[in-house]
Amino acid sequence: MGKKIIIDPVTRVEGHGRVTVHLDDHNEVSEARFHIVEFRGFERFIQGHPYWEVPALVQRLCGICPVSHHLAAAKAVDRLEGLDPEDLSPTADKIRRMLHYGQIFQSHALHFFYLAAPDLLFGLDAPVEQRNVAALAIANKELARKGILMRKFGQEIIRVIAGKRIHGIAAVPGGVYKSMTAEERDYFLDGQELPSVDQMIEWSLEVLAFIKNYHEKNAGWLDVFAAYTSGHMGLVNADGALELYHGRLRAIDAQGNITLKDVPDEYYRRYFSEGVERWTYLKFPYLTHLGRDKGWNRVGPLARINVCDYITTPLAEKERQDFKAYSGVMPNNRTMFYHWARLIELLHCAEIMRDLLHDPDILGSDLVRTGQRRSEGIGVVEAPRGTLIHHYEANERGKLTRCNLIVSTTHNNEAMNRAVREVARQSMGGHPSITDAMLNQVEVAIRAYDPCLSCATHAVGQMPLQVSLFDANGILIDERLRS
Amino acid sequence: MKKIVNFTIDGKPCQAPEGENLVKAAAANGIKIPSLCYYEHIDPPLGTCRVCMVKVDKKAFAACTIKAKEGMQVEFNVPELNDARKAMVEMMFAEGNHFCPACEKSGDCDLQGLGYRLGVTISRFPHLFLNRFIDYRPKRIVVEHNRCILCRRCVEEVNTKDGFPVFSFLNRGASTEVRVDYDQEAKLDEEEAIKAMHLCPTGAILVRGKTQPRPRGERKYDLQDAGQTVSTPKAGMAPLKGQPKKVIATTSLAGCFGCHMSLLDIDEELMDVIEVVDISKSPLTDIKKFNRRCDVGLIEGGCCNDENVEVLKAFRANCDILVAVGECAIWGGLPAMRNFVPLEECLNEAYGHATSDLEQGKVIPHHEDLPELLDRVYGCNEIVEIDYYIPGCPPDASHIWKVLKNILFGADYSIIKSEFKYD
Amino acid sequence: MTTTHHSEKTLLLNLLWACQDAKGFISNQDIFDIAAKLDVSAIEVEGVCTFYHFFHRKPAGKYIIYLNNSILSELKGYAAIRKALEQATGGHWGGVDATGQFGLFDTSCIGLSDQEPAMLINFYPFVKVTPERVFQLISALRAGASLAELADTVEDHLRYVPPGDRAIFFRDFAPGRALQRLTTLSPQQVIDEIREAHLLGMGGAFFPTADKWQICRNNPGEQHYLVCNADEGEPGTFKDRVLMNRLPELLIEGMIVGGYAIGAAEGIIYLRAEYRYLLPRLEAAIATYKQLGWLGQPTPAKESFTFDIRIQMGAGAYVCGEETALLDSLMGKRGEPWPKVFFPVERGYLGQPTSVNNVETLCAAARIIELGANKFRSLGTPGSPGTKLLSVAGDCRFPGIYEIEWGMTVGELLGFCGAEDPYFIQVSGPSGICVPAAEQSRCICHEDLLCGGSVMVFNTQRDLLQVMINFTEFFKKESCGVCTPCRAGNFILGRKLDLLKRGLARPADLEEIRQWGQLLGVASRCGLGKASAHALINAMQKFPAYFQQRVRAKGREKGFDLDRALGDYREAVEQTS
Repeated sequence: MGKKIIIDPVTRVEGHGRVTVHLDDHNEVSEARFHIVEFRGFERFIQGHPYWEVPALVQRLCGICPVSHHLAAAKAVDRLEGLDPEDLSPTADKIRRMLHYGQIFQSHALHFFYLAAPDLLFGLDAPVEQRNVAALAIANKELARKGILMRKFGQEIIRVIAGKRIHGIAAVPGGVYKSMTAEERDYFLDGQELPSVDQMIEWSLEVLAFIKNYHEKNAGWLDVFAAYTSGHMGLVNADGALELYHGRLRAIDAQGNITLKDVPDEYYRRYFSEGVERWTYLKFPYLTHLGRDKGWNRVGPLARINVCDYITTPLAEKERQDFKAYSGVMPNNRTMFYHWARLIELLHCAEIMRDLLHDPDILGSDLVRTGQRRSEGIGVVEAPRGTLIHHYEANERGKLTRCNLIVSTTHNNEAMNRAVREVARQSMGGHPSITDAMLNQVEVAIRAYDPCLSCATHAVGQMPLQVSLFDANGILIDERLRS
Repeated sequence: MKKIVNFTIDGKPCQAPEGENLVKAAAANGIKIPSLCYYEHIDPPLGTCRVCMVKVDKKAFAACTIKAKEGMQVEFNVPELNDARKAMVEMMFAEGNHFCPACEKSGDCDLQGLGYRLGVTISRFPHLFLNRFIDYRPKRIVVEHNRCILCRRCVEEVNTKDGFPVFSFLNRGASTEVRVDYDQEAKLDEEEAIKAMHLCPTGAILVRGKTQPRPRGERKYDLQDAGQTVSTPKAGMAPLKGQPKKVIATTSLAGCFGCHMSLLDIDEELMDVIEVVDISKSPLTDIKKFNRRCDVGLIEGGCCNDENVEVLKAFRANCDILVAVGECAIWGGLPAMRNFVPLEECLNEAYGHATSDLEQGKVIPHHEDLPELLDRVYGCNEIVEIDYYIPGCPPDASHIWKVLKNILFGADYSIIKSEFKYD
Repeated sequence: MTTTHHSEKTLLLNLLWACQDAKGFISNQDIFDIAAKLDVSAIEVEGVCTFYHFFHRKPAGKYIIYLNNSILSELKGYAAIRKALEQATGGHWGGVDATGQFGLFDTSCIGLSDQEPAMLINFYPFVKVTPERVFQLISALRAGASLAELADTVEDHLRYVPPGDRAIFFRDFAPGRALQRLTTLSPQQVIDEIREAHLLGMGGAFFPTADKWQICRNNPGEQHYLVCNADEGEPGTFKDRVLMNRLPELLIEGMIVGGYAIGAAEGIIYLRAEYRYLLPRLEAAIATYKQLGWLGQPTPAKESFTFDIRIQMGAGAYVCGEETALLDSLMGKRGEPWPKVFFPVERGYLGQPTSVNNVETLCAAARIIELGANKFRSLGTPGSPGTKLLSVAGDCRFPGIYEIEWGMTVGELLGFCGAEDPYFIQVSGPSGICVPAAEQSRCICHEDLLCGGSVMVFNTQRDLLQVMINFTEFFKKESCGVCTPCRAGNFILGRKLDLLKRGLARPADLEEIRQWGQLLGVASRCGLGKASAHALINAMQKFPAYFQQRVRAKGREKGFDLDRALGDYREAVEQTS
């Protein structure tokens, strides 16, 4: 008969998830799944609303990365009004970029310090009561303080640009609502009320030093924990560098061969399909031409570092080279390296923000451009957790008629399920009794992906859909593809 | 020159020209009677919104329908009437579908402003979730019926240059709606259309291309009375070293996690808080089940599936006090936009499109390990009793913590207008 | 409010009726044509059209069938008749059948409470309907039979008048007796006599008629108007129906008396559409008085007086029984009550001084002038002299009209009407109050219990909550929709009552119903709204045990039916597996 282990809810992640592990009579893991239990229906219910409300509305998909949705939607709305990203004024482009990098900075800081750090600092076997940010703050005041202030910095960037920290409004169709004042800029530079952006760079380097040291000490388990091969996807700029705001889609396979060659973001539809399972509300995107089994990609920091040729800011580029040196020639397929990759991006964001803060364009007054209405608009950004695609259609009267969102974490659905299976097998397989530490290991694997499950469960779509049917014994009995 | 008459408001002697509208007369005497449909030009006054209820010589009237006369005794600031006026505003929130977070008029909206002024955190009435539509057909104007409070200003005031009304009420009773004469509307020029947009007290009338949601900061109700308090001020949290820590639990039901993020937005202050507060069951800790009684439970998000309901009931059973944090927990919030779409349609759109060639038909996720979906999104107080409500999307961090400290430690607090928002 | 006379626009309802009668609905083209003819926005015409229940914007059939859904109809067999109608016609409720011949619709009380279940087909009355009769009717109509022939004759059911010479209305009548006195009385003297008699308005407001006529007369204006409110819409009221059927001349005579008193040149009868079958009787009565020289020409009254009367049909709106809403309807508008900034006696029909009086009031006025104020005063009670017509129906052996002297007790009335095992009576309809049958000694008079006319008797088998839900639904539909408390408040109260019905209510819900009902009373814009929660609060006061039994205390959880909420999802899943 076997038994079923349930981890419910998965904690220290954003949103709702549940893990079930099925053990057979020999206590071997026969199945392990990561169920996404939410369904909200955003893409259906925003139909019918005026398209210019969308950037404010879709932020409510997620409270950690609302800015990602705001900007992806804004880019799509720009196009609905006949403006491509390159048509915006320099001030508008840079204000939006500052906002974007600010939010990635705070999101990465949040994830590392508030959510993931307890596992890394206290160890996988730490008691339940200790595995949280409060215990961290008591055990290591200085580290916690830095983490809090780093998140604060990012949040303050957002607040100044968008009016408030969470669910603010910065973009208008064709540009931005306002630019920065000199006082606001100085607030981030002078280090008086708030640690300066230079301090942020310094602390990012410190925490990178910490993680590299951690990897050296724990290479034994970090190198093999939830390690499996997959494709990777991210945006790159025209020169193949890491690009988080606007670029082209690139994907590589586990060996590093290009599977999606720097495709303009507007063509995404040609390349992706989605699968459905009965046991989760989240779908499974994959590259159509590679099929469901081989076509799925990881997204997010690890994937982005794998996919890019280099990073445009010097300190982060050096860190990337250290990372590459450790990983080897092939793409890094090891789940736990997400943390390291994430911290490289943290540093990169700080450097970009510093450059932008010193750029006079952010004080500019040319804010909005106008264009001719189009019926369709697509906006793609790299959210903290991965590639984010917003696609809208609106009629000439302004009514939103169609909406398709492919949200970062969705791409990692298959990846997280693999991770859960791998870790469950390794940690639980064959053991007569299951400990809390074993269960936590499964969650540690999931946490590495920094999943944003609320985002992922907007859950609608008109992608080509593949449906798999399994019988009671789990044998595949049917598969259909619809386009 | 009109004769000046003497009258009283709550015993205070007042003066005004005879026959002056009472709302105007009171304002001239320093008493602001809240009103929504009142618009000076319209005579006789509309008296539709009922927000300006007062008593004149012991009988209840809408103040806007009263003219100043000698010797009249007006009651305004008495508990029964204060509550009646607040109830009217709450009723409007419950009748329409007022999604402040996505609205162009948020921050400039008179209904919202009145809610702030009267301190409305939740409507005492059940939200009706009536399916209203958005009319895109007019040439310049878009009519967002979800936000219409049927005040009639547009019906009375918006005419073409050649004197034809553009708006009218249609139907009757609960089906009453404001509709546009498309031929007449087409005659309006841009300036006239924008005037109609400003005339409307909510965001129900929009002019294409001339409006969009605006950020916090310089909107009418961000600036007006920004420093004014919603409740009386006093000192902050008393230091409590050595006492047993208070215990709080938190959860995000059908929420976006934004309220939890706002909770963390006290930044460094968090270090002080954790000295006196323990976080028990919460997405921020690994405590997955209640292992002890909690002083306060913070609920983010409404209920959209049976698991949410279960968790909410567990919170009610294990926490002394439950606080609904944010609009979603209070009445459903943005996810409640799905309440107007039959669930089957939502599911079909996500999973069922064009799979009819599949032998067994379309597949809707359904599994013993998946929660089942409710027919609509519910606010938390439809399921359990809630003790406090903190409005916002998400609520301001300082607002949340002021309320929490008050509940946990009895600290008095004052919420100022800039912290009290619905968006 | 209009201040300029625009005669064509005021007759908008008649233009709409012409289209409705001609083809069973009012088309888009009709709307545009009428708008062009009247030189108004099309949306205004549409606004008026869609306000009224009997104007359809989509084809409603050759035979439009209205089955009334008042509580008495509900208790006497509404459900069975509705089912029979659907079966017989093959149609669905709320629309037309496949052949387009039969339209099936609900309507509010049609004033035939003593003969339920009752329905109208193209405004011909059908009473005490049975399912068998339904099938017969539909067949007959399909075969081309005439509606006029198939229609029922509506009985008056006059059950009781005060004994001896104590009746006022239903006593011997011959046209002209009151008018005879006008040859010697000045208008002021007429008003004085009415004042002497202390006549109170019989429509439900009980405002002293003499005062109304006096103020109206004294107000300056180009023209004065007398309007007869024959929009008897309060469910359970059918006294005016009987008056107009049995003594239409008395009404006309009363209007002439009133017109003379206030100095009006025109009288208008606003007749509810549901009483269309009474038109011939009224028109004949008008013709009679023309012949007698009292209409349409200078009259033999003491002071110069030329008066004419026309009839305006309503189009299905309970709220038009409210005098200001009625006046708006008369002027071709939506029937929306006015805020009390000024009154009709000052500025009414077309902005002129107008007195709106109930049918019964005008009939009483004629009788007072005929018989003298003293006679009137000698009956009834000091606070409410004279007699009153009550329309009694429900669980009683003798439903019908009861002319009583003011002062009769509830117990006596219940005895006379043959009430069977009574539980409570609803006095003055859904906007009135509920009186437990145990309160036998309550006195129907100004000093204790005023009644506008409607008396509904309910026996102990009846479910109080069902009655209250019916009343709340009524107000929800009939609300004019202008003010928030009535429009939204009744809807909200309906939801609360639904909780009670499903057994999910808690004690706090009862308290909320009471508070919210009171709020409607304070904040509503007009009498309809103010009274709409009256019956409910009242019932909760009188029958607390009944309501207590209906609540379930569930600790800190609320009444939430999880299984019901999961129904949609489970159904969707089942359909795909």
